Amino acid sequence: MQKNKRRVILIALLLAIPAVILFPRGGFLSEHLPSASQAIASRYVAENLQVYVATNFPFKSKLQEIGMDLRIAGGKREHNGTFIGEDVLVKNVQAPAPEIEEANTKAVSDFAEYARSIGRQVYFTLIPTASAITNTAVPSFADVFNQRLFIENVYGELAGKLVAIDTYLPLYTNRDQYMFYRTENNVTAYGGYHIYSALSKRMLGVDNPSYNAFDIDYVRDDYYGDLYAGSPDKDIRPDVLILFKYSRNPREYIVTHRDYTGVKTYHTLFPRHMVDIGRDMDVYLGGLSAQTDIISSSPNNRKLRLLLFGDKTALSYLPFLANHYQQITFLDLFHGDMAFENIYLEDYDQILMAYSVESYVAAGSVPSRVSIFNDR
Amino acid sequence: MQIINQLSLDTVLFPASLSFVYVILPLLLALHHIFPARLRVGVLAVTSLLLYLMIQPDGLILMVVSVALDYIAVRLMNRHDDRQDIKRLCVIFSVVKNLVIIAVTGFLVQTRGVPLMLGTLIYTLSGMDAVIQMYKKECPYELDAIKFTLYCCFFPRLSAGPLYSYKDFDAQMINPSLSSTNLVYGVTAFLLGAVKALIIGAQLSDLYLQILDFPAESASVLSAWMLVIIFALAIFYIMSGLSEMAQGIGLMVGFKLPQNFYFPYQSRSVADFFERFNITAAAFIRKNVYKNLAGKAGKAYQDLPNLIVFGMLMGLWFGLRVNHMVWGLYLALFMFMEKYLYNRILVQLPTLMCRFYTLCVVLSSFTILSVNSLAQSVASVRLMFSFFSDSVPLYNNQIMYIMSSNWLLLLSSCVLATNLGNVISHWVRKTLPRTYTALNAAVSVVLLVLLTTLSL
Repeated sequence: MQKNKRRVILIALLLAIPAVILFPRGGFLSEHLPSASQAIASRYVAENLQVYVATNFPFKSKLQEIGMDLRIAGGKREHNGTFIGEDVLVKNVQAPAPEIEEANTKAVSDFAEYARSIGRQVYFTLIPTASAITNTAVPSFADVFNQRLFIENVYGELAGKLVAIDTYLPLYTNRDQYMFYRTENNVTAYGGYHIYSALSKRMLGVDNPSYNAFDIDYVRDDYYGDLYAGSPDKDIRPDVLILFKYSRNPREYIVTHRDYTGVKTYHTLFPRHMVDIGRDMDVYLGGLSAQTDIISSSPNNRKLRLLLFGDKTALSYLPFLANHYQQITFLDLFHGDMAFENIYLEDYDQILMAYSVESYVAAGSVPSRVSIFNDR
Repeated sequence: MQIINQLSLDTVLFPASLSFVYVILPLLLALHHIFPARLRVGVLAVTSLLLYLMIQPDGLILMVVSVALDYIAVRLMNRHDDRQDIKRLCVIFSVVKNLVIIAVTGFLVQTRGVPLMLGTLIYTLSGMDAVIQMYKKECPYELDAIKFTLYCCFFPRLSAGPLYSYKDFDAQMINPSLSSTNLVYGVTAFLLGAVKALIIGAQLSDLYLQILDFPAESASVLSAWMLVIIFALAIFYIMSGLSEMAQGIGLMVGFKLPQNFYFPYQSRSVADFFERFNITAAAFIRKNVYKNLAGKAGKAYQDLPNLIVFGMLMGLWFGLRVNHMVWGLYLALFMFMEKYLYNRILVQLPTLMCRFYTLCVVLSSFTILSVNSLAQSVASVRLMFSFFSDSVPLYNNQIMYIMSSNWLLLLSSCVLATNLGNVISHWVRKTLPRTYTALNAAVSVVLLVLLTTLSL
């Protein structure tokens, strides 16, 4: 009798384990188990079961955190291509294949030559990523892509065709400051300020613009970015979202976003309500779109119009540049597949191409898109 | 890693996956305890086939047909027990059929890149062994198809063994010994095996592949040494882990399976290495091939070819490749020299020196097994000894990064490959016999946490 009782308890315990794993959210069987014929035709059952259990495991994120702590204790400092520093996550940007570098540089070169043929000067900068600047987060012996050398090589190949602006040095010189987000793969507003300083000096002749010209507004001090979401290591301080608002002269801005979903307009550079709806990073210019037009109602004495080809790093420095131009058209060629039929280079006084090294080395990015403006 | 690559690790390591540990294994054990003792063998046979269907559905028919043909051979031998010619024909048919399956699947793996079917080697060799044993009257004819199927297809051992004789298994099938102590020890052995295979072995094989993928300009003397050392550790942890998982599951359902690995890198000689590395496969080859070739004739010139055949078959266990045969040949030559040239010296040497000698021979042999061609093996050896070359650095950032990022894994895999854990376990068992089972349960919990957190 006693033996039977023990047997029943053991069976109940054994059945409880899969029950806890399989049925925490309404059950596995109805949704995931295929018919017998499907099971015979493929490894459907084993694979599905593995995916389901791995996805729905009770206390998954906590257990993953423990696992990551164990790995870090064992020397691991990289997870899914992201370096895990003491208090920062840094994406490990890889060197491009030589043919991609060659194709991209040729596309930029062709574009610059075309622009010059219609009397427009192209300014060009490659913005380094955190893995080239935030040395402390990069583990010892890690084979990190030498972005400094890469940038110099690209500038060298494009010399004489456009004006290259060095944004590496200002970011590197100020690397002890908050240049890159700790949990997001992007440049902070502080980093954006230094990029802006380098750009404005060369493009506008503005030398060392002072912080004092801006009111600093802290939007959030508990922001966690995309790198944090993908990392099992959660022992990273949150980021601070900061707005630099030009305070010297009152200005009004109209920011218009155009992409395949339609048109959206904001009457500010910093639509703060985006934070309330959970799109924290969109507090800068309202986020990214294929085409963003920024019109300043009270520009400086100059009536300059700027055409910018850029990527998400523009969110950091564009609010600063907006103070100097009557109109800026920012084209994000990575965003959707727009034809930009109403964009003519002749309509702009200056053209700036500003890409992060990561965007620039992405396969088929710049060359496949920028050529649509040639011979228009 | 060709050896690892040809067997998809996901498939081989399925029994170490969370879905198996938390869903399939508890269900299987519950089922095993729900059914009465007389039906348990049947339940295990059916669940073994169902699990194979889940993991390797495209190989099920081949397995069932192969086992069925061996079973028919046994039935025919039983029916014509007085006809030696028919019995011999049955044995020849079984041996040829199984060798053809092994050869054809191996050939397809090597030439067409077809993934190796899980367990092909195990169920064919098991079927063949059973037929031979029954032919030799070492055990009675097995007329129960379910028992015969379970012997050939018992799922936990399909990944990497162990092989065992039919008569040993048959005795256990009559009365599988279920006890709470066996359950606890079984769980510990299973989880220890899972951690060894999935957490240590699979990660080491990842490191191995990373080093193998180094471009030529990133090669260094240290990377060449690490390639061989990591390969040696990876192959040991994956294979011994899988075997221990099989032993653990066996204990949980009442079967005691033989040990397949016993700290091979502590061997005192190459011959001793084969007593500790893939033990059951070596025993199988020794019993069915080496002894039949009159391996104990005692004359060196007679024994040499037999040892070579033995070594080459041990190499072919890992797949049909020239490298694998040369690996076996290389070790067979050392076995020959140990037996006939420097046996006396080896016996007189201190244990530590013997172990060092064996480790050097075995590690050097892995330069043959760890790469895809003999040309690569030669290049690998050349690189390992390029200490004074101007063109090859002693070390570089790439290999140092891998080592520094995985120092705990590398260190613990070296320590756990020794018998230190075993010594501690025996000491605890001797000094604290009453708490030993409780400690086993505690170790199981720690292993389960490790397996879960590092698998997710």
